[in-house]
Amino acid sequence: MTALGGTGADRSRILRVSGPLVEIRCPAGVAMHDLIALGADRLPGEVVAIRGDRATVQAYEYTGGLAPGHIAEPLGTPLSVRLAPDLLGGVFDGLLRPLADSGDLLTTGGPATAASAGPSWPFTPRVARGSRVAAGAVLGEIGGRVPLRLLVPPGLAGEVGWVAPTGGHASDAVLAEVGGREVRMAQRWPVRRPRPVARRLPANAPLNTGQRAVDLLFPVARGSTVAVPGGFGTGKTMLLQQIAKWCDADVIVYVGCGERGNEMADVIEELGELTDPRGGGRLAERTVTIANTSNMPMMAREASVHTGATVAEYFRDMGLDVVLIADSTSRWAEALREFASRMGELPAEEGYPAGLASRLAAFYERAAAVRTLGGAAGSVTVIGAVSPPGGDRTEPVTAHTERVVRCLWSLDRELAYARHYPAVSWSESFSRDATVLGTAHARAGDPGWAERRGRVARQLASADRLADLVELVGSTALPPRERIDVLAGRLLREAVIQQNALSPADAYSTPGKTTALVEAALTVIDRCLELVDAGTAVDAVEAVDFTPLLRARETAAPAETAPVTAARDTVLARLEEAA
Amino acid sequence: MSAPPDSLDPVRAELLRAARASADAVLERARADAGAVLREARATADAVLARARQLGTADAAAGAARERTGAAQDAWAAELAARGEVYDALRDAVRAGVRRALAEDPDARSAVTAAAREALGPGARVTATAAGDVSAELSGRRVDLSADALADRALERLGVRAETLWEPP
Amino acid sequence: MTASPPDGGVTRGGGTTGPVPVEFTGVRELRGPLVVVEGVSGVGWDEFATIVLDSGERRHGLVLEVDGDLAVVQVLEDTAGMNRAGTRVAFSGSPLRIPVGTGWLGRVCNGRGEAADGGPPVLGAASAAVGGAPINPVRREPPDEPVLTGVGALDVLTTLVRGQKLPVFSAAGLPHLELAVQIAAQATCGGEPFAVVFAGMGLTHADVAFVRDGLAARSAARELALFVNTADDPVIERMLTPRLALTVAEHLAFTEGRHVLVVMTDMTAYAEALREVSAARGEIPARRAYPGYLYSDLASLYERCGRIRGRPGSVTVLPVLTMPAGDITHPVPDLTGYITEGQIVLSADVQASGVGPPLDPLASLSRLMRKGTGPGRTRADHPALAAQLIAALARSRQVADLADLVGRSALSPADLAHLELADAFRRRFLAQGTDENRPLEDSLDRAWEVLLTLPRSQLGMIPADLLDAHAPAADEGAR
Repeated sequence: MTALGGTGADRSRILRVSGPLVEIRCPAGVAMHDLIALGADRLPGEVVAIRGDRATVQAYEYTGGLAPGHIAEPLGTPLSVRLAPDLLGGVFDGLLRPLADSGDLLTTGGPATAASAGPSWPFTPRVARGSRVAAGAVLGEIGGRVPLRLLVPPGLAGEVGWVAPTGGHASDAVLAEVGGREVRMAQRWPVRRPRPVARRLPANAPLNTGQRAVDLLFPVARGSTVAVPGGFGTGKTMLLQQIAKWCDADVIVYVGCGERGNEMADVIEELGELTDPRGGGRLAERTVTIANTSNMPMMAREASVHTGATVAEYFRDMGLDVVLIADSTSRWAEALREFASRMGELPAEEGYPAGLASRLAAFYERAAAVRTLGGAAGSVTVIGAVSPPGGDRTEPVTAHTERVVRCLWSLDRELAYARHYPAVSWSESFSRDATVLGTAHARAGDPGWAERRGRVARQLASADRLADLVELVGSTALPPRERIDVLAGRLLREAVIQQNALSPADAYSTPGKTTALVEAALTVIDRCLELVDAGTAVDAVEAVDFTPLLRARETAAPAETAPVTAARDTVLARLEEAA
Repeated sequence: MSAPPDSLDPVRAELLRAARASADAVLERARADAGAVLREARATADAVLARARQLGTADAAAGAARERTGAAQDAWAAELAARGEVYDALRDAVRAGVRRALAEDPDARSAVTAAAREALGPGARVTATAAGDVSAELSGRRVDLSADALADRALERLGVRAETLWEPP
Repeated sequence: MTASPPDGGVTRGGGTTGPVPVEFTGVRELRGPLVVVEGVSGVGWDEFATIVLDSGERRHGLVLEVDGDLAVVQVLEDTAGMNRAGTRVAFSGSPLRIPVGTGWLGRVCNGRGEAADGGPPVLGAASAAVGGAPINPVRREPPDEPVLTGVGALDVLTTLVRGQKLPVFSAAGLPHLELAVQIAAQATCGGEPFAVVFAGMGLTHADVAFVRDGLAARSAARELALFVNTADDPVIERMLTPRLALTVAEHLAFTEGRHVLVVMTDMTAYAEALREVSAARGEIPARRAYPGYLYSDLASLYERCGRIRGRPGSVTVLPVLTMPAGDITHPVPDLTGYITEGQIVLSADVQASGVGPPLDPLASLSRLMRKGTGPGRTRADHPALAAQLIAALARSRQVADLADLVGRSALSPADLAHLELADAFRRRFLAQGTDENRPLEDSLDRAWEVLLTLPRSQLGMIPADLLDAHAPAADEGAR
């Protein structure tokens, strides 16, 4: 890990310690963002300011016992992580150190960054010795559940001097030599520097999350950005976990940033047990989990979102679609605030540093659909949870985030209290990707997509508007068509929008099943309207038993449509009886 | 015998032996008291319970249970108080022993003075009272080597072994 | 103070003993709870310090910052009466550690861990740092077994699960302390080794007497460790009290193999202490002048709950807090809610109806309940029964609102049945004496009794076979 080694000349001394803020005498040659090993335990820290001969270091671990006069050794490199295929299925801390290598309790010094021997990975070369390759070119394919590739690292080009033969190789083996330099399966990359791409592409392909409330009303494109604000108890983490489990990306990077330990344990266990609906295997095998719970060192939270983005970009560069989930960006922002405050920076709103907005924007900017250096198409979609204090959406983190993201899935406390999950509010959420995705759906053979979405949104809005009136005068005072509108709102909410995360059939929904459910509900609603228009008593229509339709989402498997159609027909038949 | 706390080791052992003897007596008495309380309570409880059975009311049974819990609480409180007393007696004995050692043994005294100089450096200003309490000071730093401080540190290092005073070894 | 050296308070054999502790006398500044000492060397951040006053009085503190030869020490007992000339500060060489072990059981201590029951200091063969160490997320065992409290409404509707953190949200004037004591006195884990660690912060003397009295039996049974910081004790000391409690609890759980319930009350008083220190340090305040790190600080306490793979025992945390002016968006309840796994809410409205404990069943939620209830854990009918009862109560509340607007006469029979259910719920189910330890079987049966005030057609969430088994035989015309 050390680049400069432990020669006395490079060593420095600690001058001041205040929690995670450590000041050291700054030796010449130390640069911003360089790593420093602090004290006898060599706690990792990063240079965040240099003034005169003093450098300010942000320590990533608990600094108890660290004293002025202790050794501080500059390591000469910025904070970097080891990127390798074996990240898949692993659980790491904020600095991407494997947690499996640590004991029951996390003590300072942390787990080793050194790679464990690990299993061997099947490698098939795709270039011949002597061929000329540029950065991003595919040197070979790495087998496994997710199709991985060995690429020429950014900044390297030249003649292939040697390439490993087909067969199993350890993840730290040298697999090729390009331009006289070794290329290993595992590579290092500084977390704060976005990995280079050939160019950005428009984000216009839908990411199917499997959650109807989102896919139907507020869809997100691959390479786009989403913020999920929600007070406590609104089911934020539950929704993000569902998406981590069931969305149709190739790789999921799940960053638990300052959240609950039991919840992390739960998601780790579930991912290890659930089968991937796309091609079998365990869901864990396509997931990289970064677990930095709320009681783990606060400053590692700050690094963890960048670590996650770097891992996501690494897989993106292989031509994969990656979803990066950060729960919660508010806790990350709190770490920024904490450190800025110790640095004595001038505070802006609510004590946050003035640079908060640009830091947030820079993070979300790491999302993109791209043409990789090697010419493949890949994407990183960023979904960030936001935890507004007191549910106050005007607070700085929520307000700044809303401005930079393309989609907002706002979680509503009223819906959550009514046990309506996922509690995505249809009045307070938005998707700026909806139009372009409507075109994409039309091109893919579903020209009715945009119209269906509009109809559902209108129907829900009109039911909401009428709900206020019903509370005042009772539903019986409404005209027949409006009473059916109220009924329509209920049918759409309960038969389509709500989703039971605990039911294996309903935990996720394919586009086909979602469409079938929407069409069934709309057909029934249309028939109700026709009946009252034709003179059937509203009471009779309202008294019809709609339960088969309401239960269809749980009776039909995630990719099934036939039970939905059958339920629709049963209800239509009952309506005819009532007519 | 270089550092003063060490010179206290035999003192401490002797004190612990002596303290144990007196502790046993105190505890004996406390346990006998507690035992009597418990026996009495059980007798009362049994009587209440018998009456309860006679009357066949649940209320009285609850009363008996309360009686018994109350007795257990009283017995535990008495036991704790006895242990506290024993511990205080031990501390007093250790303090007195160290004071005596410092007052009567010139070697112990010079060892303490040497330790003070070692801690603060040769320039330290050492003060000693007639009772043998030693302290030393040098530019903003000070060491307390009074008999009480030495005794308390010895006791602190004794740690959990002090529990042998009230628990069978 | 029961602080002990890192080696666990046991004398090292042979001739080597610790160096003579050096006291520093260069007090440069005294400000609020802070003392700045100059001329120090080798003092590390977060070290524990002992402060000796002119009078010989000893106080205790933590190092908040070290800068060159300056150390900023936060004094737990406050700086009142301290002067620059006669104050000496000694540093322990490590963050605060305390002895741990079963010696704490049956003991009553003050907020700094000193005996307050007439007994000797609490000693232990091992010691542990009060700051604790985070449990490795991959070594955590997801909680899935219940802690039974003997409080029917909690056990049935908001089941506490071993390893969970579930706070009680209350307000001034509500009987949260009574509830906390009742839970602490009655809780069990199905006959497995159990213990309660109770940390009181900012309690009045009357409260302390109430707590000691209510838990005396548990204490005498050596199943309770009690730490109490009273309202007139030093405010800053409160920052230590919950950490002592959790350190003792972790050892009892993960080394001694007990299931440990940690009750911490009142967390609002704790947060105020945190705010006071923050203000004295001149830190930039966030919401309502609480420090920006309030979330992380609370998490460093609450997250110490859990289970560890391959080890017996568990730590379950029940923080109690009063919402200032009943405001749930206040930073203390709000941030607590973000960290904990649900909440138990006490309501002034229910209290006004004269029924206790005044739980609001709809606002209360135990997020881990699904995993900790059902066959093999509580009873097979429990999850469906609880879900249906909550749904029915939600409907009852809507109906009650409607009845207020349009009058009872306009209600349908089903609506009227729901009003009856709400009434039965309060009288037959919720109402429970503070000394009544209700068995789970009884609580579940009462829940059925309440639910069956509704016609079967209104109980769609309960599977038919369960309904058949519990609906009164007379109705079925069978048996």
